[in-house]
Amino acid sequence: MAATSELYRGMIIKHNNEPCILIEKEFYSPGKGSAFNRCKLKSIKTGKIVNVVFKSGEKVDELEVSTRNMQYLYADDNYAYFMNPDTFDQVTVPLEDIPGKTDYLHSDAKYIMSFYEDEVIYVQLPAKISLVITEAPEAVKGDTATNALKEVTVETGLKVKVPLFIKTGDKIIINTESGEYYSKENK
Amino acid sequence: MKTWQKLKENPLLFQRYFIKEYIIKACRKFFEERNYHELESPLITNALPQERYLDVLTTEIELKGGIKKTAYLTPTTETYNKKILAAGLGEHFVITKVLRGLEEIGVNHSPEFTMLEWYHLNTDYNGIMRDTEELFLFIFNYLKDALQKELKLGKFPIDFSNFNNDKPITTYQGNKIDLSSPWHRVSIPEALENYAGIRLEDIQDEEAFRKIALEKGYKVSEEDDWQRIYEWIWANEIEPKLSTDKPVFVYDFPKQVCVLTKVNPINPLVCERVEIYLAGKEVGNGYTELIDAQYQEERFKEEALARKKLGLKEIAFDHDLIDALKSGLPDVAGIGIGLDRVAMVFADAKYISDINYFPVSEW
Repeated sequence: MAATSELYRGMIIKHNNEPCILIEKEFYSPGKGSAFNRCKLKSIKTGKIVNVVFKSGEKVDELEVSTRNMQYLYADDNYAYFMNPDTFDQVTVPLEDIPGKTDYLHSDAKYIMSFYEDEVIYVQLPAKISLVITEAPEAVKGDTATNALKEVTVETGLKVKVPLFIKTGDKIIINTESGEYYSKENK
Repeated sequence: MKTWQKLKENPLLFQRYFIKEYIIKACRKFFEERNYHELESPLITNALPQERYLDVLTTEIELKGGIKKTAYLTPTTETYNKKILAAGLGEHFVITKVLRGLEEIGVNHSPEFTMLEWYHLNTDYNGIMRDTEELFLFIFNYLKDALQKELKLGKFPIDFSNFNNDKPITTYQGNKIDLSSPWHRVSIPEALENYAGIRLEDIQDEEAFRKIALEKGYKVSEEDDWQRIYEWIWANEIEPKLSTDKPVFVYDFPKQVCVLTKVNPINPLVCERVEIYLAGKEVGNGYTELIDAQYQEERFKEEALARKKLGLKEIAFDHDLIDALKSGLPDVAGIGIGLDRVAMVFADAKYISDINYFPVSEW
């Protein structure tokens, strides 16, 4: 049993007798009130998502899962294919189970996968990912106030708003949780 | 990367912080136009109101002769407001940082935040609700003008898109919020019944309430008191169902969760307390103020006892406040608004750390 102060995203717990993955957790305390955790749990069997509020300090039933570092290989219309770099075993993950689908999949990035009874139940994206800009409009000179940001496309097809000085071919770092530009990568 | 580094990288981010700055300026202007005085409130104090779950931060100051004194970092200003009302200052407001202990730094929670409080004479919580509607419209228009001015100055990049509207509508995380009055008003007894199927009169006894919660599937234990069970059900079953298309006033709180509030004379199971929800976030908490010294003293004693039972640290009793109430206070309603969360909404920022230049999350 784990206390709610130890809750983390990607954790597998038993809730109402069903194995669930904790996909979101937010500390919550009403004004001058006691402390809680607002969580989103996804049932591993049915995929159904439920909102649950745990009181702070409440014990939850944590299930044993194994995690592995996986390398991204490629994706088709519905699935992404990953490989265990140690054993060369491949696993297939439906794109809809990956946050952002293919937006943040790149062979240079590391993905941590959680397995429960040999099934992939969670793909954890790297917090930040470096991607090359494939398409960037030219900045219009003297229009800095209204055009402080422009939209560019990166190699995975994701569109990101970036500062004007970013050009095609630049590598930028993107926050995978918010999808926002973080910084330009210095070569 | 620290905030100052992010700003250096992307100057457009300055706008979020400017929005908080302008909100503070707008509040000052709003109350100045109403001839309210501004009270400067202390950051440390020697005594506080007793409230069972209030997590108070303390420090120690050393006086002459090596005498050490516990000082509390102000978690709420209302004791100062009430004492100064007793002194005769009349209508006034405070804008200050307040500090509260937290188990965790969260999306909407930081141990220090900026609070606006104001006290309106000869009115009740209905008057405070009307003030709040007017204040938010004032803030919206002030922000429009201030950002327009900033845009013209051309020193910083400004994205005006969220204010390019004749109507007082802002967009938060993709959802539109219409600030025009009247806002939604939902009473707690009504919300409890509609969303949780609980009648307030049926849960007056703590044991009965615990039984109902257990039947609903909450893992309540003997240590969970009335307030905790109530807040748990509120967080789980009611709060997520509040509308977000307009701000919401939830009012008439169970008397068990009100310490400094006047009891409603029509329904004595509730007190005249109101909370404001903006974009699903709790941004304000107001009362028809309790001015009955004897009842206030009793409530503080109950809360002090509850803190002891919960194993929470003892807080020095504010006898001075009771004395002030005994000396007589005018009829008054007051409210505290968390300006950080208001700034989050107007700046369309997901995290409270996004509107503070030096967030605790970066330590």
